[in-house]
Amino acid sequence: MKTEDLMDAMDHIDPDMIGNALQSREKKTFQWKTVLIPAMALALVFAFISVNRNNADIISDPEDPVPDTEHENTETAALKELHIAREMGTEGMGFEGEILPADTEPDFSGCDDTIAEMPVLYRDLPAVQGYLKRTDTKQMESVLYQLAGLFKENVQRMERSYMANGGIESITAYTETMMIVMDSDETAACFFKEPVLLEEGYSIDYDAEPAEAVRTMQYLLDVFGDVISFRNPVFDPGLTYDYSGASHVQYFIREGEGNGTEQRLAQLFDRVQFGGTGNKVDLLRIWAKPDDVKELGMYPVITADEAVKLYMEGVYRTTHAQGLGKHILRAELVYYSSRYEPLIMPYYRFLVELEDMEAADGFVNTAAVYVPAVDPAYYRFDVSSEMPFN
Amino acid sequence: MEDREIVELYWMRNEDAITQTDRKYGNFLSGQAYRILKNREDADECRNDTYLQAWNTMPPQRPSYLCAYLSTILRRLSIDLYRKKHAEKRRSDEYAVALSELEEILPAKNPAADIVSLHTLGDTISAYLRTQPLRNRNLFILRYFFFDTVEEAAKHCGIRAGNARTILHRMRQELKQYLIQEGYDL
Repeated sequence: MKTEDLMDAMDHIDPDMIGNALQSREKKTFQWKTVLIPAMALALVFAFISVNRNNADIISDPEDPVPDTEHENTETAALKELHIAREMGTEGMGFEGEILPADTEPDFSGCDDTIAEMPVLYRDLPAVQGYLKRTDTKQMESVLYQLAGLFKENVQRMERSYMANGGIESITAYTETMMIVMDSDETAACFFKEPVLLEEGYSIDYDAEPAEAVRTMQYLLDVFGDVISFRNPVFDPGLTYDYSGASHVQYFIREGEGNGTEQRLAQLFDRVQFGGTGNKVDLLRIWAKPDDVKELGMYPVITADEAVKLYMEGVYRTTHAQGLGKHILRAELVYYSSRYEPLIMPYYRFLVELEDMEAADGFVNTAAVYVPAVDPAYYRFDVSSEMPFN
Repeated sequence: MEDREIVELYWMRNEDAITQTDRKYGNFLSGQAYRILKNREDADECRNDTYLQAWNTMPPQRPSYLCAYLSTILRRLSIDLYRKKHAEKRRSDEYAVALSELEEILPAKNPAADIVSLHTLGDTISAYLRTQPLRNRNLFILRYFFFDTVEEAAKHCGIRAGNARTILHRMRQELKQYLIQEGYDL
């Protein structure tokens, strides 16, 4: 027997043990003190889910105006200090970043220094064993029934799956021709057993040119007009590159109506994606705002330049711990949320060049780092591993 | 999407199974492969090969814990690729370091090397690990299955790195005795 046999034999150890070890690693012990009582009962930023805006049942309150959050003075005295875990509790645990051409010019167009303050939201759920624990499924079931109804389908049965902490992980609704899976963050994936066929000239092709993808998405919006609609659709081909230099596209559509804050929230809560192959569409994914999302308050935000300074000082979160360079190739002001943490708050998301990774000629590897966009006076990083749950 | 649903998609031969797998575990798998290979392109290649093998093995397989199942496939592919690329040289990466630690149990080039059943040896290691407290068991697997650094594994297990090194050293010694006791010729 050789040493390497031992290493190889590890492939055959009990899968349950591997699962247990994985769970120990996935438990992100982030700090969250559940003292999040909103100072003011501000109208919730909503009206985002665009699933059939003509169907009053599925829209929370389309007339509920989104407050004009920009260029307002903030009542800062009532704002709670935000506790942010230094570790990012993503499922990724590996890379979050992109491959970009080496000659990419720094692009800060995704930032907006005219925004002086933005709402910080939170999910009104406890964090248990490192995950949010959602137990109320009424809203999820209601949306599932309505989604099936929009496709003129009847729900035949539902199955629930639970997380180890007792919270609901997802509910799957089965109809005659569909399977709709809704995760506890109310992201719904509609699978069509019989794919929707596209007319000649349109296709789901991940190697397509971005303009071609946009044209197909415009067509898809017509095809699925009974189910989805946007006041001002933004077609996002999600352009990425691989090592060969080839570009790849995806098929995202989001709401483009509203001010800068609303549009950034729409990237989380008012977006759809189509999936399929060739002329067959077999997936429609819908991002909607969970009913347990509440607003904590309006927080002053910093500029992109200030965020760059903070990054250089080491104030950031990332899933990639090593080799982060100083060269920022792309910057965006975005909202970030995850199933691990209740806070939904704005961040500057920087794609920074990685210095410890080999890349093909003409390309660079980047990692995503997140600098809180909220004024540093209003948050503090917690050393997550030393903090108790809740 | 929950694991069970993704496995269901594999069984339905729905290609979205791979999309869903990638969405849920893609970053994780790339990160795992990178620990071994230290090359992102290779890591992504192993990740994609893992999807292909998952596609080819489900059905008939129906793993109850998809991530562990994928990790096992990915680990095998990554180690194979590592050996192919580093047949003649040793590097100071986590795979090589972990391997050198296991040489405490038996020499790398054992002149009396015989052909062993890896399945049986895996069962024996499992049996040994079952005698250990959960924390120690997790520590061992994080170190020698997932190739976490000692510091990372210690952190995930809630202990100090120095303590983790001591525990791992003791476990290697115990495992050696356990294997001898089970009839392995070390």
